Amino acid sequence: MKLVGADVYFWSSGMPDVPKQIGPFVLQFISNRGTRVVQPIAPNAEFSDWWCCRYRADREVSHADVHALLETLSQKHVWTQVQKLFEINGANAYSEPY
Amino acid sequence: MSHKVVLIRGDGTGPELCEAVLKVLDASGAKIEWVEAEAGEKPLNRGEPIVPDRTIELIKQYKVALKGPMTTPIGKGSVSANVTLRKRLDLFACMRPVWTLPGVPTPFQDLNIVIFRENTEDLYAQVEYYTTPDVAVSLKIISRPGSRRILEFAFEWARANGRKKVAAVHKANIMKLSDGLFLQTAREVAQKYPEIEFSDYIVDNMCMQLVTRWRNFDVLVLPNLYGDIISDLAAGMMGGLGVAPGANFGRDCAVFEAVHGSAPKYAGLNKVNPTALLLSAVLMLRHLKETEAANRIEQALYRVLQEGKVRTYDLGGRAGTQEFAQAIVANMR
Repeated sequence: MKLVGADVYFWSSGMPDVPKQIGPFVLQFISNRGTRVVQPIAPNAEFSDWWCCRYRADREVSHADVHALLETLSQKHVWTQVQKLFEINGANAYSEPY
Repeated sequence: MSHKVVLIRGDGTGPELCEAVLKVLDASGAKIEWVEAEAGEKPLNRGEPIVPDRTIELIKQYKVALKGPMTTPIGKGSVSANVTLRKRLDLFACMRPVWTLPGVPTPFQDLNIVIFRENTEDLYAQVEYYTTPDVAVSLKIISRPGSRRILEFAFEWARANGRKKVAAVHKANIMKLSDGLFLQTAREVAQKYPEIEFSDYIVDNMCMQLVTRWRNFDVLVLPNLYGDIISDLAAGMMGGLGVAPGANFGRDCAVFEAVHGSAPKYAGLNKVNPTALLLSAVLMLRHLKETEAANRIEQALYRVLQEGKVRTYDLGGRAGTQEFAQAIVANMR
Protein backbone atom coordinates (compact mmCIF):
# COMPACT_ATOMS: atom_id res chain seq x y z
CA MET A 1 0.00 0.00 0.00
CA LYS A 2 1.40 3.33 -1.09
CA LEU A 3 0.28 6.39 0.91
CA VAL A 4 -0.72 9.20 -1.48
CA GLY A 5 -3.07 11.53 0.38
CA ALA A 6 -5.86 11.98 2.86
CA ASP A 7 -9.57 12.70 2.98
CA VAL A 8 -10.07 15.18 5.81
CA TYR A 9 -13.62 15.53 7.11
CA PHE A 10 -14.63 18.86 8.63
CA TRP A 11 -17.46 19.94 10.88
CA SER A 12 -18.55 23.25 9.40
CA SER A 13 -21.88 25.03 8.92
CA GLY A 14 -20.79 26.09 5.42
CA MET A 15 -18.26 24.85 2.92
CA PRO A 16 -14.85 25.16 4.62
CA ASP A 17 -12.41 27.64 3.10
CA VAL A 18 -9.30 25.48 3.07
CA PRO A 19 -5.92 25.99 1.35
CA LYS A 20 -5.63 24.65 -2.19
CA GLN A 21 -2.13 23.34 -1.53
CA ILE A 22 -0.37 22.22 1.64
CA GLY A 23 3.12 20.73 1.39
CA PRO A 24 3.07 17.97 -1.23
CA PHE A 25 -0.75 17.84 -1.22
CA VAL A 26 -3.15 19.52 -3.64
CA LEU A 27 -6.85 19.96 -2.82
CA GLN A 28 -8.67 17.82 -5.39
CA PHE A 29 -12.25 18.55 -4.39
CA ILE A 30 -14.66 19.26 -1.58
CA SER A 31 -17.63 16.93 -1.28
CA ASN A 32 -20.64 16.53 0.95
CA ARG A 33 -22.09 13.06 1.51
CA GLY A 34 -20.35 11.79 -1.61
CA THR A 35 -21.41 14.65 -3.88
CA ARG A 36 -18.73 16.92 -5.33
CA VAL A 37 -19.71 20.50 -4.50
CA VAL A 38 -17.04 22.63 -6.12
CA GLN A 39 -18.69 22.46 -9.53
CA PRO A 40 -22.11 23.50 -10.81
CA ILE A 41 -24.82 21.79 -8.83
CA ALA A 42 -28.50 22.39 -8.21
CA PRO A 43 -29.18 26.02 -7.29
CA ASN A 44 -30.85 25.12 -4.02
CA ALA A 45 -28.84 22.03 -3.18
CA GLU A 46 -28.77 21.28 0.53
CA PHE A 47 -25.80 19.99 2.44
CA SER A 48 -25.00 18.55 5.82
CA ASP A 49 -22.44 20.13 8.14
CA TRP A 50 -19.89 17.40 7.36
CA TRP A 51 -17.55 18.17 4.48
CA CYS A 52 -14.82 16.09 2.92
CA CYS A 53 -11.68 17.72 1.50
CA ARG A 54 -9.46 15.43 -0.52
CA TYR A 55 -5.76 16.23 -0.44
CA ARG A 56 -3.75 14.18 -2.90
CA ALA A 57 -0.04 14.17 -3.70
CA ASP A 58 1.40 13.13 -7.04
CA ARG A 59 3.97 10.93 -5.32
CA GLU A 60 4.24 8.67 -2.31
CA VAL A 61 4.14 10.64 0.94
CA SER A 62 5.01 9.77 4.52
CA HIS A 63 2.68 9.48 7.49
CA ALA A 64 4.50 12.50 8.90
CA ASP A 65 3.40 14.48 5.79
CA VAL A 66 -0.21 13.67 6.64
CA HIS A 67 0.33 14.73 10.27
CA ALA A 68 1.77 18.04 9.02
CA LEU A 69 -1.26 18.46 6.74
CA LEU A 70 -3.56 18.02 9.71
CA GLU A 71 -1.56 20.43 11.84
CA THR A 72 -1.93 23.12 9.19
CA LEU A 73 -5.66 22.49 8.74
CA SER A 74 -6.23 22.41 12.52
CA GLN A 75 -5.14 26.03 12.81
CA LYS A 76 -8.42 27.32 11.35
CA HIS A 77 -10.77 24.36 11.07
CA VAL A 78 -12.33 21.56 13.10
CA TRP A 79 -11.73 18.20 11.49
CA THR A 80 -13.63 15.19 12.81
CA GLN A 81 -12.20 12.34 10.80
CA VAL A 82 -9.29 11.51 8.54
CA GLN A 83 -8.94 8.67 6.10
CA LYS A 84 -5.54 8.08 4.60
CA LEU A 85 -5.60 7.40 0.87
CA PHE A 86 -3.62 4.55 -0.58
CA GLU A 87 -2.78 3.07 -3.91
CA ILE A 88 -2.69 -0.70 -4.17
CA ASN A 89 -0.79 -2.16 -7.12
CA GLY A 90 -0.96 1.21 -8.87
CA ALA A 91 -4.74 1.59 -8.52
CA ASN A 92 -6.51 4.09 -6.29
CA ALA A 93 -7.84 2.27 -3.23
CA TYR A 94 -10.64 4.78 -2.69
CA SER A 95 -13.80 5.95 -4.43
CA GLU A 96 -14.44 9.18 -6.33
CA PRO A 97 -17.38 11.43 -5.54
CA TYR A 98 -20.14 12.17 -8.05
CA MET B 1 -49.74 27.31 -22.63
CA SER B 2 -47.50 24.38 -23.40
CA HIS B 3 -44.95 22.96 -20.96
CA LYS B 4 -41.33 22.66 -22.00
CA VAL B 5 -40.05 19.27 -20.86
CA VAL B 6 -36.56 17.85 -21.30
CA LEU B 7 -36.59 14.45 -23.00
CA ILE B 8 -33.72 11.99 -22.55
CA ARG B 9 -34.38 9.00 -24.78
CA GLY B 10 -31.76 6.84 -23.05
CA ASP B 11 -29.96 3.68 -24.11
CA GLY B 12 -30.91 0.18 -25.26
CA THR B 13 -34.67 0.01 -25.54
CA GLY B 14 -35.02 3.60 -24.28
CA PRO B 15 -35.50 5.28 -27.69
CA GLU B 16 -38.27 2.89 -28.81
CA LEU B 17 -39.99 3.16 -25.43
CA CYS B 18 -39.87 6.95 -25.68
CA GLU B 19 -41.28 6.80 -29.21
CA ALA B 20 -44.23 4.76 -27.93
CA VAL B 21 -44.84 7.02 -24.96
CA LEU B 22 -44.63 10.20 -27.03
CA LYS B 23 -47.21 8.73 -29.40
CA VAL B 24 -49.61 8.27 -26.49
CA LEU B 25 -48.88 11.66 -24.95
CA ASP B 26 -49.45 13.37 -28.30
CA ALA B 27 -52.86 11.73 -28.56
CA SER B 28 -53.81 12.67 -25.00
CA GLY B 29 -54.01 16.39 -25.68
CA ALA B 30 -51.21 17.17 -23.22
CA LYS B 31 -49.53 20.40 -24.23
CA ILE B 32 -45.85 19.56 -24.17
CA GLU B 33 -42.92 20.93 -26.11
CA TRP B 34 -40.03 18.50 -25.90
CA VAL B 35 -36.46 19.67 -25.47
CA GLU B 36 -34.11 16.84 -26.43
CA ALA B 37 -31.04 16.16 -24.29
CA GLU B 38 -28.52 13.35 -24.04
CA ALA B 39 -27.19 11.19 -21.25
CA GLY B 40 -25.81 7.67 -21.04
CA GLU B 41 -23.84 5.70 -23.60
CA LYS B 42 -23.98 8.19 -26.49
CA PRO B 43 -22.09 11.03 -24.79
CA LEU B 44 -19.87 8.52 -22.99
CA ASN B 45 -18.82 6.92 -26.28
CA ARG B 46 -17.86 10.37 -27.56
CA GLY B 47 -15.58 10.81 -24.56
CA GLU B 48 -17.95 13.19 -22.77
CA PRO B 49 -19.32 12.82 -19.24
CA ILE B 50 -22.15 10.29 -18.93
CA VAL B 51 -24.43 13.22 -18.17
CA PRO B 52 -23.15 16.25 -20.12
CA ASP B 53 -23.30 19.68 -18.47
CA ARG B 54 -25.76 20.84 -21.15
CA THR B 55 -28.25 18.19 -20.02
CA ILE B 56 -27.94 19.28 -16.40
CA GLU B 57 -28.38 22.92 -17.40
CA LEU B 58 -31.46 22.15 -19.53
CA ILE B 59 -33.15 20.32 -16.66
CA LYS B 60 -32.30 23.17 -14.29
CA GLN B 61 -33.78 25.58 -16.82
CA TYR B 62 -37.00 23.73 -17.65
CA LYS B 63 -37.44 22.01 -14.24
CA VAL B 64 -39.01 18.80 -15.58
CA ALA B 65 -37.55 15.87 -17.51
CA LEU B 66 -38.78 12.53 -18.82
CA LYS B 67 -36.05 9.95 -19.11
CA GLY B 68 -35.85 6.60 -20.86
CA PRO B 69 -33.80 3.85 -19.24
CA MET B 70 -30.04 4.18 -19.40
CA THR B 71 -27.20 1.67 -19.32
CA THR B 72 -24.73 1.87 -16.47
CA PRO B 73 -21.36 0.75 -17.82
CA ILE B 74 -19.74 -1.90 -15.67
CA GLY B 75 -16.08 -1.58 -14.83
CA LYS B 76 -13.45 0.44 -13.18
CA GLY B 77 -14.20 4.13 -12.82
CA SER B 78 -17.60 3.96 -14.47
CA VAL B 79 -20.42 5.99 -13.02
CA SER B 80 -24.17 5.67 -13.23
CA ALA B 81 -26.05 8.27 -15.28
CA ASN B 82 -29.03 7.90 -12.97
CA VAL B 83 -27.01 8.52 -9.81
CA THR B 84 -25.21 11.42 -11.51
CA LEU B 85 -28.54 13.08 -12.32
CA ARG B 86 -29.80 12.60 -8.78
CA LYS B 87 -26.62 13.95 -7.23
CA ARG B 88 -26.05 16.91 -9.53
CA LEU B 89 -29.68 18.02 -9.44
CA ASP B 90 -30.05 17.18 -5.73
CA LEU B 91 -33.11 15.04 -6.53
CA PHE B 92 -33.45 13.83 -2.98
CA ALA B 93 -36.90 12.23 -3.11
CA CYS B 94 -37.58 9.15 -5.19
CA MET B 95 -41.27 8.30 -5.45
CA ARG B 96 -42.24 4.76 -6.44
CA PRO B 97 -46.01 4.18 -6.35
CA VAL B 98 -47.26 0.62 -6.68
CA TRP B 99 -50.84 -0.44 -7.14
CA THR B 100 -52.84 -3.31 -8.61
CA LEU B 101 -53.31 -2.69 -12.32
CA PRO B 102 -56.36 -4.14 -14.02
CA GLY B 103 -55.49 -7.18 -16.11
CA VAL B 104 -51.93 -7.49 -14.83
CA PRO B 105 -51.55 -10.84 -13.09
CA THR B 106 -50.44 -10.61 -9.47
CA PRO B 107 -51.50 -12.36 -6.26
CA PHE B 108 -51.40 -8.98 -4.51
CA GLN B 109 -54.89 -7.60 -5.08
CA ASP B 110 -55.82 -4.17 -3.65
CA LEU B 111 -52.18 -3.14 -3.55
CA ASN B 112 -51.91 0.64 -3.20
CA ILE B 113 -48.68 1.89 -1.63
CA VAL B 114 -46.50 4.90 -2.36
CA ILE B 115 -42.83 4.48 -1.48
CA PHE B 116 -40.51 7.41 -0.86
CA ARG B 117 -36.82 6.59 -1.01
CA GLU B 118 -34.13 9.03 0.08
CA ASN B 119 -31.96 9.48 -2.97
CA THR B 120 -28.72 11.22 -2.09
CA GLU B 121 -27.02 9.74 0.97
CA ASP B 122 -26.77 6.47 2.95
CA LEU B 123 -24.52 3.85 1.34
CA TYR B 124 -25.31 5.49 -2.02
CA ALA B 125 -22.96 8.29 -1.02
CA GLN B 126 -20.49 5.72 -2.38
CA VAL B 127 -17.68 6.83 -0.11
CA GLU B 128 -15.40 3.82 0.00
CA TYR B 129 -11.85 3.06 1.04
CA TYR B 130 -9.48 0.16 1.32
CA THR B 131 -8.10 0.70 4.81
CA THR B 132 -5.73 -2.25 4.49
CA PRO B 133 -5.19 -4.54 1.50
CA ASP B 134 -7.70 -6.94 3.04
CA VAL B 135 -10.38 -4.57 4.33
CA ALA B 136 -12.70 -2.30 2.36
CA VAL B 137 -15.14 0.03 4.10
CA SER B 138 -18.15 1.91 2.75
CA LEU B 139 -19.52 4.83 4.73
CA LYS B 140 -23.22 4.73 5.52
CA ILE B 141 -23.96 8.43 5.84
CA ILE B 142 -27.29 9.41 7.35
CA SER B 143 -27.74 13.10 8.14
CA ARG B 144 -30.45 14.88 10.09
CA PRO B 145 -31.20 17.39 7.27
CA GLY B 146 -31.09 14.62 4.67
CA SER B 147 -33.51 12.53 6.70
CA ARG B 148 -35.77 15.44 7.55
CA ARG B 149 -36.31 16.57 3.97
CA ILE B 150 -37.31 13.12 2.67
CA LEU B 151 -39.55 12.56 5.68
CA GLU B 152 -41.21 15.95 5.28
CA PHE B 153 -41.60 15.32 1.56
CA ALA B 154 -43.36 12.00 2.23
CA PHE B 155 -45.65 13.45 4.91
CA GLU B 156 -46.48 16.50 2.79
CA TRP B 157 -47.30 14.27 -0.16
CA ALA B 158 -49.47 12.08 2.09
CA ARG B 159 -51.32 15.12 3.40
CA ALA B 160 -51.83 16.64 -0.07
CA ASN B 161 -53.10 13.35 -1.47
CA GLY B 162 -55.40 12.31 1.36
CA ARG B 163 -53.29 9.41 2.54
CA LYS B 164 -53.86 8.28 6.10
CA LYS B 165 -50.73 6.39 7.17
CA VAL B 166 -46.98 6.82 6.88
CA ALA B 167 -44.52 4.13 7.97
CA ALA B 168 -40.77 4.77 8.34
CA VAL B 169 -38.54 1.79 7.63
CA HIS B 170 -35.11 1.34 9.27
CA LYS B 171 -32.72 -1.04 11.00
CA ALA B 172 -32.22 1.07 14.10
CA ASN B 173 -32.08 -1.98 16.35
CA ILE B 174 -28.66 -2.73 14.87
CA MET B 175 -27.43 0.57 13.41
CA LYS B 176 -28.45 2.53 16.46
CA LEU B 177 -26.76 5.79 15.48
CA SER B 178 -27.27 6.10 11.71
CA ASP B 179 -30.66 4.44 11.32
CA GLY B 180 -31.41 5.64 14.86
CA LEU B 181 -31.03 9.22 13.60
CA PHE B 182 -33.40 8.52 10.73
CA LEU B 183 -35.96 7.03 13.10
CA GLN B 184 -35.61 9.82 15.66
CA THR B 185 -36.09 12.41 12.88
CA ALA B 186 -39.11 10.47 11.59
CA ARG B 187 -40.73 10.60 15.01
CA GLU B 188 -40.09 14.36 15.25
CA VAL B 189 -41.46 15.06 11.77
CA ALA B 190 -44.52 12.85 12.38
CA GLN B 191 -45.58 15.10 15.27
CA LYS B 192 -46.24 17.91 12.79
CA TYR B 193 -48.82 15.73 11.00
CA PRO B 194 -51.23 14.61 13.74
CA GLU B 195 -53.92 13.62 11.23
CA ILE B 196 -51.57 10.99 9.73
CA GLU B 197 -51.04 7.71 11.56
CA PHE B 198 -47.31 7.11 11.96
CA SER B 199 -45.57 3.81 12.55
CA ASP B 200 -42.09 2.40 12.07
CA TYR B 201 -40.86 -1.00 10.94
CA ILE B 202 -37.52 -2.74 10.94
CA VAL B 203 -36.67 -3.37 7.29
CA ASP B 204 -36.59 -7.17 7.45
CA ASN B 205 -39.94 -7.22 9.20
CA MET B 206 -41.27 -4.82 6.53
CA CYS B 207 -40.28 -7.29 3.80
CA MET B 208 -42.28 -10.02 5.49
CA GLN B 209 -45.24 -7.73 6.28
CA LEU B 210 -45.37 -6.40 2.72
CA VAL B 211 -45.89 -9.80 1.16
CA THR B 212 -48.35 -10.99 3.79
CA ARG B 213 -50.28 -7.86 4.86
CA TRP B 214 -49.80 -5.40 2.00
CA ARG B 215 -53.27 -3.92 2.48
CA ASN B 216 -52.11 -2.47 5.82
CA PHE B 217 -49.67 -0.08 4.16
CA ASP B 218 -50.25 3.31 2.64
CA VAL B 219 -47.07 5.43 2.41
CA LEU B 220 -43.57 4.14 3.19
CA VAL B 221 -40.48 6.30 3.66
CA LEU B 222 -37.00 4.81 3.72
CA PRO B 223 -33.30 5.61 3.62
CA ASN B 224 -31.66 5.08 0.26
CA LEU B 225 -30.55 1.43 0.24
CA TYR B 226 -33.65 0.01 1.94
CA GLY B 227 -35.73 2.14 -0.42
CA ASP B 228 -33.91 0.72 -3.41
CA ILE B 229 -34.57 -2.85 -2.32
CA ILE B 230 -38.11 -2.47 -1.01
CA SER B 231 -39.29 -0.48 -4.04
CA ASP B 232 -38.15 -3.26 -6.38
CA LEU B 233 -39.83 -5.82 -4.16
CA ALA B 234 -43.01 -3.75 -4.38
CA ALA B 235 -42.61 -3.40 -8.16
CA GLY B 236 -42.61 -7.18 -8.35
CA MET B 237 -45.82 -7.26 -6.32
CA MET B 238 -47.36 -4.85 -8.83
CA GLY B 239 -46.53 -7.12 -11.74
CA GLY B 240 -42.87 -6.50 -12.48
CA LEU B 241 -40.48 -3.74 -13.43
CA GLY B 242 -42.16 -3.48 -16.84
CA VAL B 243 -45.15 -1.76 -15.27
CA ALA B 244 -43.63 0.15 -12.32
CA PRO B 245 -43.24 3.93 -12.66
CA GLY B 246 -40.93 6.27 -10.79
CA ALA B 247 -40.14 9.92 -10.22
CA ASN B 248 -37.30 11.85 -8.61
CA PHE B 249 -37.93 15.21 -7.01
CA GLY B 250 -35.62 17.98 -5.82
CA ARG B 251 -36.51 21.43 -4.54
CA ASP B 252 -36.44 22.81 -8.11
CA CYS B 253 -36.49 19.95 -10.58
CA ALA B 254 -38.23 16.65 -11.20
CA VAL B 255 -37.11 13.74 -13.38
CA PHE B 256 -39.64 11.05 -14.30
CA GLU B 257 -38.38 7.62 -15.30
CA ALA B 258 -39.22 3.97 -15.57
CA VAL B 259 -37.44 2.03 -12.88
CA HIS B 260 -36.28 -0.82 -15.11
CA GLY B 261 -32.98 -0.99 -16.97
CA SER B 262 -32.31 -0.39 -20.65
CA ALA B 263 -32.57 -4.10 -21.60
CA PRO B 264 -29.96 -3.79 -24.38
CA LYS B 265 -30.55 -7.36 -25.58
CA TYR B 266 -34.05 -6.30 -26.66
CA ALA B 267 -32.95 -3.00 -28.26
CA GLY B 268 -34.54 -2.46 -31.66
CA LEU B 269 -36.80 -5.50 -31.34
CA ASN B 270 -40.00 -3.52 -30.60
CA LYS B 271 -40.68 -5.93 -27.77
CA VAL B 272 -40.49 -4.27 -24.37
CA ASN B 273 -43.56 -3.15 -22.42
CA PRO B 274 -43.81 0.66 -22.39
CA THR B 275 -46.22 0.73 -19.43
CA ALA B 276 -43.60 1.69 -16.83
CA LEU B 277 -42.38 4.68 -18.79
CA LEU B 278 -45.93 5.60 -19.76
CA LEU B 279 -47.09 5.57 -16.13
CA SER B 280 -44.00 7.64 -15.24
CA ALA B 281 -45.18 10.12 -17.89
CA VAL B 282 -48.63 10.07 -16.25
CA LEU B 283 -46.96 11.02 -12.95
CA MET B 284 -45.24 13.81 -14.85
CA LEU B 285 -48.53 15.04 -16.31
CA ARG B 286 -50.06 15.18 -12.83
CA HIS B 287 -46.99 17.12 -11.64
CA LEU B 288 -47.59 19.56 -14.51
CA LYS B 289 -51.32 19.77 -13.58
CA GLU B 290 -52.24 18.19 -16.93
CA THR B 291 -54.80 16.14 -15.04
CA GLU B 292 -57.24 15.53 -17.89
CA ALA B 293 -54.55 14.14 -20.16
CA ALA B 294 -53.19 12.02 -17.30
CA ASN B 295 -56.63 10.55 -16.58
CA ARG B 296 -57.30 9.92 -20.27
CA ILE B 297 -54.06 7.97 -20.69
CA GLU B 298 -54.52 6.02 -17.49
CA GLN B 299 -58.07 4.98 -18.35
CA ALA B 300 -57.09 3.99 -21.90
CA LEU B 301 -54.18 1.93 -20.55
CA TYR B 302 -56.48 0.23 -18.05
CA ARG B 303 -58.95 -0.64 -20.80
CA VAL B 304 -56.19 -2.21 -22.92
CA LEU B 305 -54.77 -4.15 -19.97
CA GLN B 306 -58.21 -5.28 -18.82
CA GLU B 307 -59.28 -6.41 -22.27
CA GLY B 308 -56.05 -8.39 -22.60
CA LYS B 309 -56.10 -8.70 -26.40
CA VAL B 310 -53.00 -6.55 -26.89
CA ARG B 311 -50.26 -7.54 -24.49
CA THR B 312 -46.49 -7.40 -24.57
CA TYR B 313 -44.41 -10.52 -24.02
CA ASP B 314 -43.86 -9.93 -20.29
CA LEU B 315 -47.62 -10.13 -19.75
CA GLY B 316 -47.98 -13.26 -21.87
CA GLY B 317 -48.83 -11.57 -25.17
CA ARG B 318 -47.25 -11.06 -28.56
CA ALA B 319 -47.80 -7.37 -29.20
CA GLY B 320 -44.83 -5.13 -29.81
CA THR B 321 -44.01 -1.90 -28.03
CA GLN B 322 -45.53 0.30 -30.74
CA GLU B 323 -48.65 -1.87 -31.22
CA PHE B 324 -49.32 -1.67 -27.49
CA ALA B 325 -48.99 2.12 -27.60
CA GLN B 326 -51.27 2.25 -30.64
CA ALA B 327 -53.90 0.20 -28.78
CA ILE B 328 -53.83 2.73 -25.94
CA VAL B 329 -54.28 5.57 -28.40
CA ALA B 330 -57.20 3.72 -30.00
CA ASN B 331 -58.83 3.33 -26.59
CA MET B 332 -58.51 6.98 -25.64
CA ARG B 333 -61.78 8.82 -25.05
